[in-house]
Amino acid sequence: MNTLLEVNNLTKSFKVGYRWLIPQYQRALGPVSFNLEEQQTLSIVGNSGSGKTTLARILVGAEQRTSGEIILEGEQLEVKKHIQRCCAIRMIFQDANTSLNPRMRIGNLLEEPLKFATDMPAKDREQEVYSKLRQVGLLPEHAHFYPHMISGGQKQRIAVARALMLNPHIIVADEALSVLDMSVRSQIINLLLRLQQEMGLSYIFVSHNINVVRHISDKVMVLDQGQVVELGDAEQVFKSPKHDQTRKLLYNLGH
Amino acid sequence: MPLLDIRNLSIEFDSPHGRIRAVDRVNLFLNPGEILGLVGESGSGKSLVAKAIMGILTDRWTVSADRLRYNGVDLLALSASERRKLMGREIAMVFQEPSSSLDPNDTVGHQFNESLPMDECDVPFYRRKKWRDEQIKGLLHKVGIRDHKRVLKSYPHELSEGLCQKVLIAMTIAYKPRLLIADEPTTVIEAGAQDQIFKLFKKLNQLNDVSILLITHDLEHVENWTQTITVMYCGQTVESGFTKDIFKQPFHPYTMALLQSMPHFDDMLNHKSQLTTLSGCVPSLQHLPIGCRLGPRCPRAHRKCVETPVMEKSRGHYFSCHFPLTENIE
Repeated sequence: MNTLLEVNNLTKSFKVGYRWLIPQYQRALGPVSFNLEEQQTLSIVGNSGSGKTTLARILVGAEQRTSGEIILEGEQLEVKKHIQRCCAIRMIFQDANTSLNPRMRIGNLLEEPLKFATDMPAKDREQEVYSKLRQVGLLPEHAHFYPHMISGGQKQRIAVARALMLNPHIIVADEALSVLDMSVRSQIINLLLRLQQEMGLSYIFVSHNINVVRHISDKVMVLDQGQVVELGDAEQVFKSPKHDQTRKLLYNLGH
Repeated sequence: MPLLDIRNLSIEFDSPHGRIRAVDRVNLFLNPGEILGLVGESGSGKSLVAKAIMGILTDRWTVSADRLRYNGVDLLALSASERRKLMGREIAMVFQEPSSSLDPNDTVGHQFNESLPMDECDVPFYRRKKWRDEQIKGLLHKVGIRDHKRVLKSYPHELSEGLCQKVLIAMTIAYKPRLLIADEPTTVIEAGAQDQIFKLFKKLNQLNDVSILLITHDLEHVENWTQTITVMYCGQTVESGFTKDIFKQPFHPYTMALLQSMPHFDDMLNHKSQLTTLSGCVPSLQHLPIGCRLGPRCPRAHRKCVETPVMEKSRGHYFSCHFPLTENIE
């Protein structure tokens, strides 16, 4: 297996104010280094405020890094090269109810990334939308619907389809399962696992549900106050947790 | 005598498509000093049941029941003002999204002052401020907030959701209610703080003898914290009984599917294997199926399922299904 994504000494600092007119910064994340291989799932777990969402947002380009480098398939990922980034790394947001534009039809919603990042003719775009809808278990007719006309689980499927539009290699899911109902959640997990098999996707999965994390991930990274406290094989980390933070997360489950 | 005794509670409303029955003949029993978990997916009507018990549904909704008794008193026969006296004092409720139930314009301390039971105060007026401060301090310490000074001075948006939830619980127990209804107390709260809230409920239940109706959408949450569970689907009671029994051997296909749908930590489930799940999704209120509402999604559905099944009982374990899973065992 070859390395898909390599992250070296990534850090992020936020400006917290001024002192004697000198800007003051607070380190929110890092330094973080890790590798992600093809068809692997990396899960990021940690308490709230531990920087897991910040890390996910930096990877997809919603936030700018302060220092460090991201190497994607042997190429440096520059901060300003948006097209390169958004073709390779896509994101599924937490709440599909609020992340879909209510005034656009689902067909247009799914078409948007193709319009922005490629120069595909309209006919091909339509076909692409239909095939992606089928892939996530919906019908081509759903392209004419508005988001409010379908159920919550179907909306999350649309969010997955939108992430798949540009045939990315990596999908970042930030707490994408925690707001879903019980029976729908397992449907989406099944969908994500099936897509990984079919398309060879890699996932970066931010979650606090240890049961789900254990089931779907190959590697686990435990963050605490912006620092990586444990990184390794999922089985190993959960069987013999080395750091207090990991033990605490497992203890919260009652194990 | 059960503290809360509900038999065949139905909640209906009129829509342009005719009268819709959002909650269909639900049964609930809560003994004093017990924690009851009411579990169901979104849209299954569990919040409606809670609101019907409190009596805070708007005029749009019609509530009818064979029996809706709190501590032997028929709630539906009470006048509005008599019911108002029970509300908040005997039966208290903690709502979803804690930060939105607090007034954003006012400090937490000021709002807390308003919710204190001043009729219990028997000190002269010049010592009342001190009495209030001590009450508030005591209540906040009880729910596990140590730096009460900072919390009381701050506005709701300055506190985390977990802290807001604790403040609200402290406010509700100021009147020492006998029944506390917690409507999805942990959905918007960070994972670490969820356990604290459940521990707090457990503590209240054991030390103050408060009975708790815990409403949640996740079966995982209630396993360790409740004695009995009632599972709802689409406004119908599906199964109810002791937590241990239900987790050991569910009788209803829906409960079974919920238990199987989540990977469990100790299970010998193959890594990255597909999970068992119910197909389809929860039907909307306009398109409810007749009979057993699980019918179209149920893996064991037969022709008979178009009739609504009657609640059956087997060793303290209630279920409503024509073809329960018991047959496999016997």
